[in-house]
Amino acid sequence: MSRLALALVALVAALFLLSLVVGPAEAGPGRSLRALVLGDGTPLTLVMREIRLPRALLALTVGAALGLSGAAMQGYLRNPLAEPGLLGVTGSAALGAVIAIHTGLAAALPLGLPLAALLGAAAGVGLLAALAGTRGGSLTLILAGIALSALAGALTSLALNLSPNPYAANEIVFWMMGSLADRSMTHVWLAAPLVALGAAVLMTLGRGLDALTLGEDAAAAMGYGMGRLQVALVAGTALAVGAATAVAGAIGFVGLVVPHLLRRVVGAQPSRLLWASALGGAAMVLAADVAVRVVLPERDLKLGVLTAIVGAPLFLHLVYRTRRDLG
Amino acid sequence: MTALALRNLSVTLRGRPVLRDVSLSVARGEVVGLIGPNGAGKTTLMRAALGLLPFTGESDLAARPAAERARTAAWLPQSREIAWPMSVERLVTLGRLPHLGAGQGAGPEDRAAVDRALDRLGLAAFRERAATRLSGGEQARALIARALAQETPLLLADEPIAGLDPAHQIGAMQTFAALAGEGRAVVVSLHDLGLAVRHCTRLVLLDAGRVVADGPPGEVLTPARLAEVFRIRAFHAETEQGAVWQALDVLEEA
Repeated sequence: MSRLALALVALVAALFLLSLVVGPAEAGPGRSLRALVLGDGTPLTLVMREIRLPRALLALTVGAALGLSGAAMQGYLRNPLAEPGLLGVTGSAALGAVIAIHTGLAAALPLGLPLAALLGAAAGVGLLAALAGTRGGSLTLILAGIALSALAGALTSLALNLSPNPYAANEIVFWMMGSLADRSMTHVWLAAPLVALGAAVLMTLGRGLDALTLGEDAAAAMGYGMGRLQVALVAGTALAVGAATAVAGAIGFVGLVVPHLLRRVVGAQPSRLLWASALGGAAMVLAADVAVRVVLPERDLKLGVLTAIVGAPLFLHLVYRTRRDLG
Repeated sequence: MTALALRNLSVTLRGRPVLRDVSLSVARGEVVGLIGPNGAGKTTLMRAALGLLPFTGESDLAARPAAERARTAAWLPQSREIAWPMSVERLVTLGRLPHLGAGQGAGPEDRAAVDRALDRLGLAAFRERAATRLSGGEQARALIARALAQETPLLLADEPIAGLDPAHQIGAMQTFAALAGEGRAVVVSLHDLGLAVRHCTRLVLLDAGRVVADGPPGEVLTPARLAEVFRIRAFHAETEQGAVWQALDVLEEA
């Protein structure tokens, strides 16, 4: 294991612990962790096991899903501006959730919302595969993704437009901002296996993405055809990002910024960027989710809002640096 | 020993025949220069031979499973793509991908192959430099080194020396000749007929998707064929310093 891997794992572990001990229930870190592990039957144990642990686990899962799929998308499209949302899976998962809120399904069933979001993601990826085909053409894939995002966005607006009452509209808007507050272990059990499966599929892309550095023709001659790479990319991203969006809402900029930040550190090799971005994404979302609790504890600052507020200037800086490098 | 065998290879793209009935056999120890005017079908011939294009006819290379094919033939496309700013060493190591087992990193054998390829192209000093920051010609050499690092019995290279300075053009052709000397086979497309005459053991002349001539350079480049296919007149002589070929002027349309 390289030094970078060790450093990233240590960072993620530290942020995970920090996420466990930060919250409105005032208790020392030692007591909190003891209550979590030993389960002494106090209210603190309940807080730790039912509120903070799922929240930290979800931040880890969602962040890893976004970072990994961002790195895979950038590697496949050979474009540092690509991000997982480009496929339209995020948009269609959000649409599913919005429909669940709109129809009252989210209120009627405990898991109505995330299940509807997963259904939305599945429908979206089905449409994407039908539109883009499986022959492997990055241009048709992007165009199909944009079309799908536009369609999902339009239908989401329609749902808002026709929302039965201002509270429903309010709920939809807040859900779409993305958050990990008030999630339970059930959410973890729903999302984690799908994210793990998607991540396993995406990790198989490593060598193909490396070969793709030399262009589609050279990669194909080395035995990495675009068709198979595209199928794995779409399936893996849909599983990981669909599941992440279903439990956390749309969280932007992680999939875009994290691979960009780590590219130099891994020597720009797409296969190494995959696992590094998974860890980096987990670290970023864990840190952001701690920050929303610390910065404005009373106002329920949304995670997606914070990642965008931090991510956008970071991205501007990267654009500036890229321009300087080119000039 | 045969390194490549093509029989009646034909390619039709968008209803237009691009390659017609090409049969070609390349033996180990040969440097075959693929020549012909723009659009004659040189790239198509090599891509079809590799199975990167739908074709009719037979190619022993395309018939192999993808992984085995990648260990049999290295392909150097004409478009010089380096998508990410990775070091020259990492870039050249990509050529070892077909030799790595599942989950296995580059071993000492792979590193030795990379070193040999870097040395052959005179890139040892560029090892740590970001490949995307090199000049166009240096990038071209790094990509040739990448294909060499694959260490396959057959190398197919599409205009590999275009854009190199004279010393490196000659150097690359000599490298191909050295590979042939080691018992491998090289098929290289090129437009510099002067270099083709001096460094290829055999020339295959393509025109409008057909093989017009196939043989030793002196027999292929007759004045009549040069006039018919390239519409040029040339000076060609065997001298003490080897064969000299130089295009002189363009012939008027008859």
